[in-house]
Amino acid sequence: MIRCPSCGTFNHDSQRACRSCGSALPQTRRRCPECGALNPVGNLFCDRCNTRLLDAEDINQRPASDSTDDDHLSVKGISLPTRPSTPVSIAGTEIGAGQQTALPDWLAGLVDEDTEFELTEPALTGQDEVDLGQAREESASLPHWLGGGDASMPAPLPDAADVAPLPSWLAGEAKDAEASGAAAGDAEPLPDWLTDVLGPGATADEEIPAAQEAGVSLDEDALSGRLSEKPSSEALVFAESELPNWLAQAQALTSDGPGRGDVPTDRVPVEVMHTVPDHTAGEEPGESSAAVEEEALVLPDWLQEIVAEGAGVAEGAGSEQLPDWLVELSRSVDTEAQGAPPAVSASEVFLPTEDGSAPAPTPAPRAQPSPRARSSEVFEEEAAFTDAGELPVAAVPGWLSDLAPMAPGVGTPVFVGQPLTEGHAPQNVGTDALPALHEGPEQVPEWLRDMDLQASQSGPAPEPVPELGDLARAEVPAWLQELAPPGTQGDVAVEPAVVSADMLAPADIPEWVEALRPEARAEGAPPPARAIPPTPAEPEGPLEGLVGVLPAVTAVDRPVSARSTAVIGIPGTIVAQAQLWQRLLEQPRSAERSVWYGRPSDRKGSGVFRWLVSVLLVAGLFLAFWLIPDGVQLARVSPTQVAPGAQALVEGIDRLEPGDTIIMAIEYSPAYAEEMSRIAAPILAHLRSRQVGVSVVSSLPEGAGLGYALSSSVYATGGPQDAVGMTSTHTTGGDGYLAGSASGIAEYLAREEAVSADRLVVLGSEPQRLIWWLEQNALLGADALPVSIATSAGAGPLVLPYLESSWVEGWVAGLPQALAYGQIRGDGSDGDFVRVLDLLVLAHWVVAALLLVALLYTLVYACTHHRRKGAG
Amino acid sequence: MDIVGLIVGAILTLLIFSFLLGDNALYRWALALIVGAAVGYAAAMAVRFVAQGWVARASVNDQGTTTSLTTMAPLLLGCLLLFKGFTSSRLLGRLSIVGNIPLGYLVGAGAAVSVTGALMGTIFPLALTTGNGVRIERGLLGLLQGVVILLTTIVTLLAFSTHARKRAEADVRQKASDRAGWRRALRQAGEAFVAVALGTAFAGAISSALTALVMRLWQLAALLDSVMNLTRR
Repeated sequence: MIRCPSCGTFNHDSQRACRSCGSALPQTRRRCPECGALNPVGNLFCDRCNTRLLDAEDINQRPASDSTDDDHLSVKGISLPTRPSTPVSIAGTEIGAGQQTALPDWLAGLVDEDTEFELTEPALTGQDEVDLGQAREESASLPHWLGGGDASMPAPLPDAADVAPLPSWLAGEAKDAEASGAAAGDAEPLPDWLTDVLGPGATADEEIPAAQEAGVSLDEDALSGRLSEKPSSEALVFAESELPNWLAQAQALTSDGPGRGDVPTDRVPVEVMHTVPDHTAGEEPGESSAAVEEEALVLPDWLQEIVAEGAGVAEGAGSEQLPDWLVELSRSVDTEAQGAPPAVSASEVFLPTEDGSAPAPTPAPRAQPSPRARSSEVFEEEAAFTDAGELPVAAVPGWLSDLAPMAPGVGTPVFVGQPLTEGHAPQNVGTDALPALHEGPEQVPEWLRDMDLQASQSGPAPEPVPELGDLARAEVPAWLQELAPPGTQGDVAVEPAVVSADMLAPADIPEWVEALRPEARAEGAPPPARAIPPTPAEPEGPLEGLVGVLPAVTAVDRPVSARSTAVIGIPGTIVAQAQLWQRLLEQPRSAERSVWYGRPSDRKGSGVFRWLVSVLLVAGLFLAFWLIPDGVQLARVSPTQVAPGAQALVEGIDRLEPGDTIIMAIEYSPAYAEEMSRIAAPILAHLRSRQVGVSVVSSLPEGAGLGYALSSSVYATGGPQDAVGMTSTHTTGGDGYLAGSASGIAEYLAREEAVSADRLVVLGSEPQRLIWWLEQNALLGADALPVSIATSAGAGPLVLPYLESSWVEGWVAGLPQALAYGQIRGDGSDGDFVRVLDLLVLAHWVVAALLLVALLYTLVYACTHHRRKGAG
Repeated sequence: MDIVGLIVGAILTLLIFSFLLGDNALYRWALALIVGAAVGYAAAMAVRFVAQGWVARASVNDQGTTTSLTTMAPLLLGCLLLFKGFTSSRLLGRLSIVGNIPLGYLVGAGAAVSVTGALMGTIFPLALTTGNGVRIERGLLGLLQGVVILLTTIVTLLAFSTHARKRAEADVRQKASDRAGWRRALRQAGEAFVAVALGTAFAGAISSALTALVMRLWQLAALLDSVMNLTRR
């Protein structure tokens, strides 16, 4: 995953831009152009196919600062970066691109891309000048400490461009390899402990193609000659910036210390303090077994000396000469040999002090461990996986093993943090190189000069240079094999366990599995064609007729005959509820009314409108009640035009004789009592004048009470109340209430008292009840009573067809017709009635005006609303 | 007493009028008072003049067996009808089915009376009246009036029949019928007549309401006039 530097989003390794913010992502993988495998950015060669990933131009164009960490990361196993394709200038001589093959990769890696070797002219002597031309051709690129001496050079270098500078310790490594007598041509794999240290996934197999691709044949004798070459007189000075990082790191570790033989400072990494390698566990000095003693014979000198010193420390002698860290190391070795727990535990490290005193055990920082401390922890964890009885308390990290110059003869690395004694110094560096080193002190790094100086001063005679062929064929030098812990080299071949057929039980393979068994086919025969279901063609659309557009039929499908055997009983109520919810959810939200009814939704406007109506009606009528003079009559009633049925009603009542009885049906609710009482008043007055008895009945419970109140108000003004009264109502079994609606009316009309009545007068404001009376009376046929009707203004239009029918003799509807009835009769209605009628006319005008205003307001509002809606 | 009645009536009238300013508690209180008084009065009338009257007449058996039967049968049916009021009770709820007997009697008798009355008292008379209107004896104006009434009635009936078909049949058939211009014109004409009739009824309702308003205001004015007369004295 790649974390985006801008937004922090994690992206896939193959992405080049952030999927969240789109910013460019740092490239962490490089795709191989050949096989397509993703490799780390620093890889020069593909992990899978070993194809070169970086062009030579890319390498040269990389800045010096970029070639530090990335180059380190790219080093896997013992693979080293290839040399650049650009010419490397060696003392003014450029090694062309065609000469690159002479420089092995692993050596070219030691040379930075921007490194330019310089030959300091003042360092040249006369003989050196003579040999300079040849040296430029043969060994100009080799540092002097890499050379083994002229005498040991078996043959001149075939090509000067093939000469590559080697550090002295590496040259000694080559010698050691030859001295160890490793089998030539046996490209043995790297030991596990070394590959683990060098990098994950690095194998010895990767080194070979890398070197071969670089055009370097390790079998060539040229390398051997280079390694054993007599050191040239010119001083090859490495600038610090030209050193590889890993070497510069080693330089820092060594040069910053108080001295080569002093106790290393606390700047020395923790790993240095645990510099007892694993594979030296069996070589620890405190072991007394014979096998250990035998192995001690093959220990390098410097290690044997350490063992001896350790033994001396154990004996209490000579401890003052040893550095403290070595004393601690010896103690830990002794303690381990005695079966005691190691002095240096996984959680403790020893940090030497500045004055060289013995460091106290200091707990390792756990909160924020430094990178080196972390590597120490890793190292300790790795050590924990090994056999505790065979391993020492600490092991040598691989990177430190690479840095260590080789002790002569044995091949045991000399660690950086370890003080170099005479026996420890690399002895493969000839003493001839010393003048050259001292001639250019300002150009040779101090630490390198110290190394060479000590090595040349204390080292024994140079070892014979190993044959190049041996070194080339032996990918893993012998000294590494010897240093490897037992069991890691595969010395003991573990043969696989042989399982006889008798031990196996016959497998019971079902038939359907047998059907899937692939059939054996001849070599090179094409695989059997698979039955691919035909892909249907696209039936319609622009892709009509094309095959392969539709998705293929799935390979595994449900059989048609398959039925679900699970029986799930769902209650009907739940199903009904689910269906109801489904319908409610599927039902679209009721659309907005397409028809606008003109009802303003503004509450403020509605309130104003209500207040306006109230004030105009109530206050206006009140004011009219007092302001209209008595002589002014607004309601001018024409009896013949206003009340067409009033004349017939007057004539019908006039035909009644005194003592006759009429049935008066009260069919209005109390809400209309005021109006109906005003309408019925002239009729009752007429009946009173005719001395006709009135029988009050009603299909409404409250009708009888309203009839009683009406008769009381009419007859209270004087006259023979007994002429009507409530006498006839007693015969109906109540105060004239006829239960049963139409049935009750029909039942009442069938009674004797109803049949004997002379007229039926219906006072009603409800059209339906009026119709009941008319219908039931019509059902009587010839015995039907003559009917007269007085209705309210609201019910009159609804029952007008009945009123104009042949069996209704006279009718009035509303106050104006009632006033016309009085005018026709000529009884002279009172002034109050006329005044009320005037107010009613005025109220009608006001209502008409309000309706007109409301209509205009509605039209204006509707137009504005539609215009606004259209604009929106 | 009349003054008290006037004052109470005036206050109730003002409370009812307050509805002009919107629905409020005073209006609702006055409305509840009126409705409650009307229902209470109706219940009292039913008990006082119906139930007691029937029971009294059934108990006084001085008019022979026939009268007693005709009196007791409705009383018995009325008692059975009371069981319909216990449908929510678990025990008596099962007996509510007994109330179906008088209920069926009421519905059947009422339907028979109504249908017969409607047929004989509404349809036939109205049809005869409409037909009698188209007579030359009534003169030209009368004849024209009769023709208009006849056409209006026919068109209105056609409009109702069209609406009924619209609801009963599918929209496709309705669209097919709408293609006929004359049918569509008749239907629209019938709807126009119905609208006029309903508008007239609405106008009558407004007139009745205004009459009630005027009468109430008249009474309030009379009250104020009486009070002013008292103050003058």
